[in-house]
Amino acid sequence: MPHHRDGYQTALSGVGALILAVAVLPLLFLGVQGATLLNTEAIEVFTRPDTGWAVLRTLSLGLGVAALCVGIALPLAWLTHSTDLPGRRFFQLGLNLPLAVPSYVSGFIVMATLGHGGWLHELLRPLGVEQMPEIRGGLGATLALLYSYPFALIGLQAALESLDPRLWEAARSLGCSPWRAWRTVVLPQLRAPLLSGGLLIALYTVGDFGAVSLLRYKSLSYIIYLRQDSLSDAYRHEAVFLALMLVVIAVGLVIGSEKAGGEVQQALSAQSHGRPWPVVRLGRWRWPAFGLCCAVFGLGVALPVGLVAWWLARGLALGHTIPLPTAATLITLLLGVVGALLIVAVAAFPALLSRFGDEAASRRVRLTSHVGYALPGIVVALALLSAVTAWAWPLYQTVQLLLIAYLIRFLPLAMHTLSESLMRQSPSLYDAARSLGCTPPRAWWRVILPNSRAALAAGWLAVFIAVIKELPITLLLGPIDFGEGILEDPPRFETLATRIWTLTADEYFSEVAPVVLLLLATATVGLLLRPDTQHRRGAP
Amino acid sequence: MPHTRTLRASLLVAALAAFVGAACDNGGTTTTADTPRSASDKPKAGDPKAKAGDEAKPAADETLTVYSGRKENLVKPVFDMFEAETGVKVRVKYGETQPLATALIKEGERTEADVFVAQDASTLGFLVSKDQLADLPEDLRNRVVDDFRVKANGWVPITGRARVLAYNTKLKPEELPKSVDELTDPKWKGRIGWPPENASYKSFVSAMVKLRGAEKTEAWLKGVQANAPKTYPKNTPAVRAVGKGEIDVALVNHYYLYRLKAELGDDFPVKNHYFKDGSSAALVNISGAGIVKASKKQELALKFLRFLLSDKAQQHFAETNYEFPLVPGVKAKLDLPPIEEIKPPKVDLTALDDLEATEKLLRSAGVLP
Repeated sequence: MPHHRDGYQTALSGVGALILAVAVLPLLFLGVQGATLLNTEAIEVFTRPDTGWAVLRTLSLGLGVAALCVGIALPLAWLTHSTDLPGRRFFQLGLNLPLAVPSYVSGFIVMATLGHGGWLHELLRPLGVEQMPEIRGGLGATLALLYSYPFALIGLQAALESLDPRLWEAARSLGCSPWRAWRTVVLPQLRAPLLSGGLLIALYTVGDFGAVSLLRYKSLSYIIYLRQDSLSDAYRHEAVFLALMLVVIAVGLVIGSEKAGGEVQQALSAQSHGRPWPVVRLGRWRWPAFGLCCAVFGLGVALPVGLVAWWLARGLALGHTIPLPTAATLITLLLGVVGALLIVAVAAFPALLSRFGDEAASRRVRLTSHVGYALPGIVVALALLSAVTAWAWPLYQTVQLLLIAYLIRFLPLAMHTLSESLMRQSPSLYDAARSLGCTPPRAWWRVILPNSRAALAAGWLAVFIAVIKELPITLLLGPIDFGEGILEDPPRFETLATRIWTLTADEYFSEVAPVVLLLLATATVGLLLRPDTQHRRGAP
Repeated sequence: MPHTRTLRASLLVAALAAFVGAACDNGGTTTTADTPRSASDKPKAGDPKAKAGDEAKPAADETLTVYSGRKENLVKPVFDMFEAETGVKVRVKYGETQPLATALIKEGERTEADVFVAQDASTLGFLVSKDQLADLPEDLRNRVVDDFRVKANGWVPITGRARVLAYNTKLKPEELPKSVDELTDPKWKGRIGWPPENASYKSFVSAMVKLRGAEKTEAWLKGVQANAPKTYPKNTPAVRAVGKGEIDVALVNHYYLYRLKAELGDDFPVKNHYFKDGSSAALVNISGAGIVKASKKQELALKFLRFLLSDKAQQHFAETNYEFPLVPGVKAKLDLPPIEEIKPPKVDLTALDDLEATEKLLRSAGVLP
């Protein structure tokens, strides 16, 4: 949509540049460090065959998990959108919960259920099964990372909510079967959220450490972690180059998804939003669909809850006292709420920029911000540690720094749904606001953003859950005390995620159980805090 | 429903207000000098008077900042005992040992840390090589029993953890290997587990290199590799796998068994086998602590280290964590063999060159990727 540049758009570009400057920090740091290491022996890492295999493993895991997750999320998104699915409202929220299970917990779940001596093995043992097939490796890592499918579900749900139901109604009234109408009218509209959901999951997967370490899958991020942890300078230098390789993979994935994306279709008219969807009858598929949702909810939520409840029961039976981390819960909730609000607010700028300003500038922000998201958390944490101790000491070990770090890491989670939603909006909406005398910022604030409520809420939720389970950055860059100076006896700064880390390190099963449950409860609070964006006609 | 929305909004606003308030104040204490605060002795960059000021303060106002690579459940009770005894508030930053060490180095002169606690000797050796730890007085170092005094002057050992072979109790004692060399026998194929990323595993291999040389160590590693050992990210999952019968034996530290028994019940079917042969497999790894060179509270930090080596603290480490105490007069838990009986090899494991060589060796033998 052509707009001639004015002062507001320049201002928008300015903010975009500012965000770029922050988002580029880890990349800049890695690049500079890499440049100084070009003449060391670490450079050999590029020519080693192992490295090639690790790259292949990383790519196949990333793409495999993304494809499977999108395959799970797509039917769930539609079934919970506007159908007569029993318990639809419950599933609509509840099916997003598996995202709150950290990968180091889901990896544990895979081992505890499918591993040797796991639950399945105990069931099969009476039948004479002595050895379970090895679950460690690619298969186990894939299963553990499937818990990230809600990254796609959240975006798909938001896209469906802002989808004009008249398209569907027209197709149906013209005699299309529901299946045909879905395939020809709904599915093409979901192309962008499907791709961006898949991209976010692929990037999350390539940067994950918890699951691949527990399940012994020698992907790039696992090897980076090993090298990073070494006492040998040469090995730590290799980690820099390997991280740069991961950067290239991430940028490649982002560009690949852009190429596959095509144009986002704009809405037919300005009034699409707010028109309720009709209830889609599932007919004989109603109960099988219910079964599918139950199965996913069972494996994604009930299984982890059941497992930790079992730990809790066992611990109580052994007479353990089990403390409740109230301070950690509160801090986690606050960090999540504030961090997500901040990140969504910041993400609005590149999204507006791509629609109303300089698209090239917006693209630069998009490409760069994905780097922070795809790199393993510990790499970002150490890069920021170096940058802040050198250039911004007063920020070091403050909550403010933590929020900036979350921004660098999780900006893409909020940006995708928002950009798509803005792109999908009818141009007449903005033009009408402008012709009625609104300045551009006023039009953005009063018309454009409110019209993307569902996308804003979805972005907020994805970031909220990502923040509450973030570990390496929180551990390394967080302050030592929380609320020092205003509280008489400031509590130690800890979140539920750092608490889980410290307890699982030495297998305090019964003590970690309530913490995992509280993390899931906090995520549920996030789901409930998400503004209500439902527009739907008829029965639940 | 309108009032749920109001409730939601007010919840959000309240949370925001509380949080922003806390965050701002928090930032304030580190950036401005005139805010009143309880932790008033936080050192400031380039403030030469900080040291003199701190020493003049009464103990009740004092705080000590500890960076701990050891986990909270293992050390906090002892830190609490120190607080109760001295009135000094102990602020702790917990983390993975290696990133914490990196943080300490990057912070340099401005660090808030006074004491660094690590779960293995190698990181402390690394910090000494980077000139981060202060020299300690002779009498403190001599507090440790003879066999475990370290040559490096920057840190003291606090507790010991013995290398053992954890085995499933379905194995009879006579089936157990007399030495780790027997683990290269094909009869152990598919039955061995180990955690090669773990620092104490690396120390064990380093010790073997010291005792036998790199070539023989590599041959041994390759011999075990031929038996397809299962690898685990840490000690505890390896011990758990022994309990589940996934593997029969695992080369680990001794005290995880007791941790798991506490969690899973006493019928957890695993026992520890001590080699007691003076080889690297009988190594006793040590956790330790040092005083940060840049700390403005050297006296207080020294007091803290003395406390960690006091009978009371050592007693706690022994009783609750099942670790080996390292001062004369404090006995290990009854379930453990006396430390003199273990016959650990006499090697110094703090030379960094050796650890780098070990990592290379583990990679060339295919144990680590």
